[in-house]
Amino acid sequence: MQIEVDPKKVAGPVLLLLGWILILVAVAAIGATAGRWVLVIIGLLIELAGLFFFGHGRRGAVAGERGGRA
Amino acid sequence: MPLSDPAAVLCILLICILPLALAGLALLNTGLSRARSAAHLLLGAVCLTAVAAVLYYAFGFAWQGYPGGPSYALGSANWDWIGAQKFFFHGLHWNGASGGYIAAYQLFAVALAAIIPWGAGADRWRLSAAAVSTVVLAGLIYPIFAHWVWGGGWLSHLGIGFGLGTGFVDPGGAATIQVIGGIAALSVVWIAGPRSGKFAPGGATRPIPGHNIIYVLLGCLMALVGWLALNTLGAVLFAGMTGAALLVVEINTLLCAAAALLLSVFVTRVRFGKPDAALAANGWIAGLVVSSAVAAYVSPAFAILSGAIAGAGLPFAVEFLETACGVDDPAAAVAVHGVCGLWGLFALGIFSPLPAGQTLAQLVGIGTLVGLMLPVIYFINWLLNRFVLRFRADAEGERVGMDLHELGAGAYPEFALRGDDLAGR
Repeated sequence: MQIEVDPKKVAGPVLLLLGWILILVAVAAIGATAGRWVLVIIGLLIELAGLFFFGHGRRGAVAGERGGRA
Repeated sequence: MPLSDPAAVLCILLICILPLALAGLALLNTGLSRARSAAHLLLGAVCLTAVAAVLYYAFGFAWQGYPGGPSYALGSANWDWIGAQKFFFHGLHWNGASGGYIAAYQLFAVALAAIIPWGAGADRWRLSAAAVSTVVLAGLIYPIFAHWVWGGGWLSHLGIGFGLGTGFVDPGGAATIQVIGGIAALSVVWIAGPRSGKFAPGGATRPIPGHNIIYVLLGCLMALVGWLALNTLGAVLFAGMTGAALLVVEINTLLCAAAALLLSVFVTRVRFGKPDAALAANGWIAGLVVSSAVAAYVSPAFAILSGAIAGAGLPFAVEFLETACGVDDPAAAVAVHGVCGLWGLFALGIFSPLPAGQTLAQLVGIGTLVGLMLPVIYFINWLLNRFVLRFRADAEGERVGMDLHELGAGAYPEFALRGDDLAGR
């Protein structure tokens, strides 16, 4: 059985989770240094990118459906 | 830990006032929807309140628990177990211990979180599907996050375990109630899609104005009273505040909402030539949402600043979500409860006098809401929509309105409010 995965739809949630994991790692593994701040902010930026892809994927999904843009 | 008698009496009185927040939000959602879905919206708010309260009583509180339960150690942190309580409130002692008050408070809080997405899905979200979604939200998702924040879970222990201030702080439920509700709203509008006719074939947005601005503004005033109770209860039960210090919480709640309203009026006046009543009302609610985060910990001046930033940013957030992201959210729940809730949590970190590292603790909480809770809530709702109950009403239901389609009668049976209401009957 072949499962087709739309990268546009998967990228968003994956990036969101990756960003969150990076934040957890920064808090748990790094002491109270500037590096912790940097990693948390990078994690949040990855989440922001994930939000963009997540929303973009959903926008494509609703286009063409009843009530959507098409 | 038992509450003192005055604190216990105060808590009971505030719990009696708390339902006004639910009533206000329900009225606001109804006013911002189409006339042909008004009864559906209001009945739905009552039904979802009922579902949320029963599910939370049956299962939710058992997952959430409250500080002082069994715990385990991981590294230097000591975290309370999730699910340490018994189902159906068994094991709670109604003898003045804080657990009973927290349980009663949470019954209303979880209902508030449940009706936030209901407004976002107005005019097309079926009531049965919303009830099923609320079962999961109130019985599982909300209690898990509430355990992390209020039940002695890992977010509340970020301070003790990892030196981040006093750990993630959320005295009035800006994260647990508002942002969780806002995230659920975003999931619902993504899954259900926009209302018919909301977007033109070229991509332009068509305005669908709310049908009764009186409901909207009356809802705002009722919400203020409910929010005063919400924030004060949170300050007593989760921040340990007592006596005259609670006056500052109430002052900050009003100032935050006032500043947000004034800035929303100003921004819409400058942008559109006249103030927009619906956006101004949403600004008021956005200020209340922000106050849930900051009211217990900041000075009145910073409460005004936090509310003002939310009020100024709200019209832009609503417009960005609608035009750039294709999000059709009649009640602006995503912007008001989600975006402004996140801002409030961050504002608490930068404006409060809490110990160093508090801002980072708040960012970790924000990262958890967006990075973990959003995909989880979306995925669960996607599964429900795909395999249990379709979220969206069929085309005919949406055309005749959810009142006639799902309830068999309209909210205003003696009035033909729109020309296309009668077409084709």
